[in-house]
Amino acid sequence: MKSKKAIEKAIRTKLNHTMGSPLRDQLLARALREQEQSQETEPAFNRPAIRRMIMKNSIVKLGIAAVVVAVVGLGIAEFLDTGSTSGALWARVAKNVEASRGVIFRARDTGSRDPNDAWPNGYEIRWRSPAISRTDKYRGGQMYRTYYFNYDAKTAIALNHNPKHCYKEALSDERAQRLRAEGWTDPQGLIDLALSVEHHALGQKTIDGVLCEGIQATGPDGSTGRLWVGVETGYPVLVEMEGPDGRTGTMDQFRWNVDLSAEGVELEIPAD
Amino acid sequence: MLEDEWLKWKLRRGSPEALARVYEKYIDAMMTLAMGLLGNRAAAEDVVQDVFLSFARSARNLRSQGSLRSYLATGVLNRVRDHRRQLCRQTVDLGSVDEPVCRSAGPDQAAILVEQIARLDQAVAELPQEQREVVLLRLKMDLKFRDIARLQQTSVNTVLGRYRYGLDRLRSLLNGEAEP
Repeated sequence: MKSKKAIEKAIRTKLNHTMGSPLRDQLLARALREQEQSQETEPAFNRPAIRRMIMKNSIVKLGIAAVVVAVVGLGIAEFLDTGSTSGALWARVAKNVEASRGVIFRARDTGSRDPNDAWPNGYEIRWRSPAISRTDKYRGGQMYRTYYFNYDAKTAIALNHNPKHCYKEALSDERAQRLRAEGWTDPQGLIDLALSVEHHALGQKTIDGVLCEGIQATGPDGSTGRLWVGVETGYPVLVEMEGPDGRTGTMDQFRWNVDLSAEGVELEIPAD
Repeated sequence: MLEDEWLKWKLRRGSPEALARVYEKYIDAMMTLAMGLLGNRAAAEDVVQDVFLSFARSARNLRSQGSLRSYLATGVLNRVRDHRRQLCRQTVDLGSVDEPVCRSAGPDQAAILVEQIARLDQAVAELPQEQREVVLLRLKMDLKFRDIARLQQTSVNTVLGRYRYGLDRLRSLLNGEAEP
């Protein structure tokens, strides 16, 4: 007789359904259109209001969104007390990340329902710059799907590699401009996020031969994130996240301040 | 998870990249939930489409404090209930069950897995609706029993009972045929 634990495990791991590729990409294209149409012309946030919030509340109690905007937009010095004496390093990291021309890194996790997408079978290579966001999804070492956003060309593209099919959406001028203006890098968002919730210093350790300093942040749901930055370079080297359910996410193999055009970021769209 | 907080922050600023990430991250989980609850691929796809289109429209005003998984799962559950109100209970269409996730397995092993998963699907579909909801929300969406109780508008003890009876019934239905 099958045990309850075995049934639970079977449902958790084996009972998976996926949406077929054409419909999957069509739906994403429609969702992007809906998102575009729902955009308001009025900015969603107001910096003076956020500054007032910051003045009235402790950092831990603040909403994450408010602090992220504050960290990026209103100066970082007063928010960078990590409990260590290395505030200058974190200030340099934030400055470096913001000034970086572009970054390429690998993202992988153990939380995907589809084991083909979970590490070590699956991972993503993400390209980010002020004008471009590209995500290449890999399974078994083969790239199978790409999402590409170009805020200069004002396009959003979903490309399935095998079989080849492509969906392209236009972004409005207003939206493209606003997205460019509101920050761009995943790691920058994560730095801001890490600094905006409860956090403490982890000290130093060597990662792949690079001396790093880390902080650990704890989210309201008990999830944790660890950010390790190179002491010498002042750039993020490793981001590790763990959910309350034990799932993990990792970003590594960072290449900072790269010219994405020179690295071949442009997408080749199939003719048909 | 922290990534969800960051995604919510970007969604409130209208980021299409964040929407694509949420979509990619949760589309299959929501499809699995909808399929498990409805047992019909076409209906499940309709439900998932509705959920994500609605999510895309409202993402800029997202106020959810919890995980995006839980938020989207609630949307799926509500739409499944709407769908069920309109239609008679769907029977499981085994012919429409999607290819199982084991593309790295050999042909023989894959065939066995297809069969096992079809049986598992069928067994889940044979559960009473309330038990099916609890089992899937708990095991596929990782929702806490108290959150499921809130969604089902009942007590935690009732939900725990439904979960226990659901697993007992699955055990008798499967009778060891779908050993993982």
